[in-house]
Amino acid sequence: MSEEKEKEVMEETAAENTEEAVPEAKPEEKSKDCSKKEKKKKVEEKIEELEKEKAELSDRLLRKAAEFDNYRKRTEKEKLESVSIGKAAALEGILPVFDSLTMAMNTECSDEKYKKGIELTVQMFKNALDRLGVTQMDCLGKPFDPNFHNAVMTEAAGEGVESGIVTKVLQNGYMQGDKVLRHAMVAVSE
Amino acid sequence: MGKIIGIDLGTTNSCVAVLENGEPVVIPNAEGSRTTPSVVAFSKEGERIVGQVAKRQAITNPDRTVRSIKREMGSNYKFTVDGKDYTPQQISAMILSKLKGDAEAYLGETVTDAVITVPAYFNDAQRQATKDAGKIAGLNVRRIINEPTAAALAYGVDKEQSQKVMVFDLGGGTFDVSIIDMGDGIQEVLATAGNNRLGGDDFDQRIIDWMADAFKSENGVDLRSDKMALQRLKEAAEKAKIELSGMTQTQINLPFITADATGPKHLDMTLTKAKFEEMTADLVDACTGPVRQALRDANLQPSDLDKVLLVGGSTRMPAVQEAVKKIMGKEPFKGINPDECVAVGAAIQGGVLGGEYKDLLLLDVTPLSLGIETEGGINTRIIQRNTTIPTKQSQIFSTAADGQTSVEIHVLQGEREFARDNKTLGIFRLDGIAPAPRGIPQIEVTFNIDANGIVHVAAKDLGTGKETNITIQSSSNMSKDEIDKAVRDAEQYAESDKKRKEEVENKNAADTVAYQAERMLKDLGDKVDEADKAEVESKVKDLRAAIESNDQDAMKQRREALEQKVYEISSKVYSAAQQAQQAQGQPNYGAPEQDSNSGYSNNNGYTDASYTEVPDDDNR
Repeated sequence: MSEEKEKEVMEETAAENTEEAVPEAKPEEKSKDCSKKEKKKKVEEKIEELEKEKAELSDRLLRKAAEFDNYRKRTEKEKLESVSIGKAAALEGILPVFDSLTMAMNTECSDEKYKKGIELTVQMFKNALDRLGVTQMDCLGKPFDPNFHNAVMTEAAGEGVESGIVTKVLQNGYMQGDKVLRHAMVAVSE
Repeated sequence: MGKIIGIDLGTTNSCVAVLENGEPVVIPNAEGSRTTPSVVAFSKEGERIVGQVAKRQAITNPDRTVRSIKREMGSNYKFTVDGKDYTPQQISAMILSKLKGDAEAYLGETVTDAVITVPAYFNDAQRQATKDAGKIAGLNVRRIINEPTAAALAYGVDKEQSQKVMVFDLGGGTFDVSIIDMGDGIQEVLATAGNNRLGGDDFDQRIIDWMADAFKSENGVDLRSDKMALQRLKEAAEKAKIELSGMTQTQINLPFITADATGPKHLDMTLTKAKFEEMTADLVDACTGPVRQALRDANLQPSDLDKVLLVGGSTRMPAVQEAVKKIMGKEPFKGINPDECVAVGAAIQGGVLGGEYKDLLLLDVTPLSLGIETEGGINTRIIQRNTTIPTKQSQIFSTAADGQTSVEIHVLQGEREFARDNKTLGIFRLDGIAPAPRGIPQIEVTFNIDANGIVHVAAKDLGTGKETNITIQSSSNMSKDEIDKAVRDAEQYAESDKKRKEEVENKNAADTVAYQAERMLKDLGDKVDEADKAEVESKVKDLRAAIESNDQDAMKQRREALEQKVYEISSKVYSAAQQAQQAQGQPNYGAPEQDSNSGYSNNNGYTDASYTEVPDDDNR
């Protein structure tokens, strides 16, 4: 406040307090009144400042708490899923081996015993996949669905076959539970 | 307003990231991938498909699938489907929409604001189109920033003093070089150059051709015309390329790749790193042209640049890194995942705009472990090093001798197993413990480190409620070098420390068992028959002798033998008591739990660690 303003206020205050005022109001008493009012104002301002700061800090705290809670919930979920994810990663690497083995099984072989051995091995593999909750997709002749199938080629539709149907399965697709483990590599009718 | 996400809207692939407590997190999409292909398609029914799914159906639906729409941003290009026209920004909006949805699913909250990156050479129309795309997708685009700038942010370059940085971005299908002048929060693009038809895919193609050509000359069949074989070749080529970034050779093994009248055919080839680099040398060379061009345009020499940052998955190839090093005369920076660093930088920018750094509670850690000295001179750690502070940890200890009425808390800082090898932070005492057999009193020692790193250690006798404590100011006064040395020493001496600690613990255990056996005899009195009593006394004597002579093996053997005998006796005593009770019709409580480490008495889960008594007349 400027000096003049201060003086004005002092005079106003003095005027207001005339009835109760001592007839000869000393300057020190007048300035005591003013500084009391100033002090009060300062305190009020400080309170307002602190309340604002408190509100801000409370807000920040709540946000951090919420962020932490979200993080915790998400981490719990990820923990539960991590076993599945680990399994899927391991299986992904092994499926191409199964593909090869199946191709071997489907190849002409004059040695019956040897062929039988391959067939039994393929069956072993199938059982192992079974126990891991892996199922083979059944897509041949079904409508193409990019959520499950990966189209690498198109070909002319055969007799009585509509367009958009899976005409060949070039590489089998697999599900792990209700999640896609590997998309089926297919040919689709034009 | 929630978090501001950072989006790298790429030509071939897009990536989203966000800051969480100041740390960038890449957000996986609904399928679990950290990047999403920038592919959009309209199904036969008119349904919108974005990402990996769109890629998988592209070949069955070529006219209704859009790739690389980024190349058309800012132009009048229209994509027409079902009689409707779509602008590039509308198509991009579909990609952004998916990214937004995936981010919301991951974060568990609505996302309304984003920072999106664009190439440094994008003009006004292209930038505006990107901003519009965001708006159409329901995002408030807080800022459009340049991709090389975002990369620099990810590397923290903006926090350093003014410098000139080159960003070398070799992605799946495009190559961009930028030179940026960074400093005082301002980034100025000095030059850009590149080749937007050069990328990792071209390197893959070389391998595919090499394999197919070799196969053709041997078998007379071109695998590239067999769609399935080609797909397998593509996957194998990409895998081989990636492997050769770390190994000197890789085997490409594709049994039953095809078949003809003569039977099945297999592909089995070995590709060496040298051969791979030979067949892709011209592609690497093609990268050097734009680098020199950018330097010329910026009127700079390689030595004028302070840093070179690598962006884009293809910069993982050693040949590319070496070429960069050769021209620029310095080692390029490659610490951050090159596929993700642009999105990370955008997230950092988003964090700054969102006040994340203002809110950031920069958390400190305690650099070395804190503990107290326990029986045998062992350092028993209570707070592990690198624990985030503020933190509070307590542990309960007990006395080492019968009738001990005072314990000394010797506060230690360090990683070594023995107290004497660590730093003493302070020593204080807790008196007035009620006299009791050793191991009975419960002294709770609490370490409390406040946010300023000041350590408060308190010891409280849970029996009497008496407590003393100490405040240590100087615990973090060690320099980083001193801390590193302490950790290194601990690792170096870990083996020998461990062995000595085991010896001490063995001795402590032997001592405890001997003591407890004697107490048992005293407590049970004549419930134990003379023969058993004599045997126990003799075994205790032998055990004590072994302790005296510090014979580790003997201590272990004799302790175990004594424990056995003690169990035997107490079992006898309890079953005798049981029979007596049953005779009286009392309930049968069964045999008591035996704590294998401490013989007869029940330790109640306390650490079997105790203090040495501080004599009263000691002047401390």
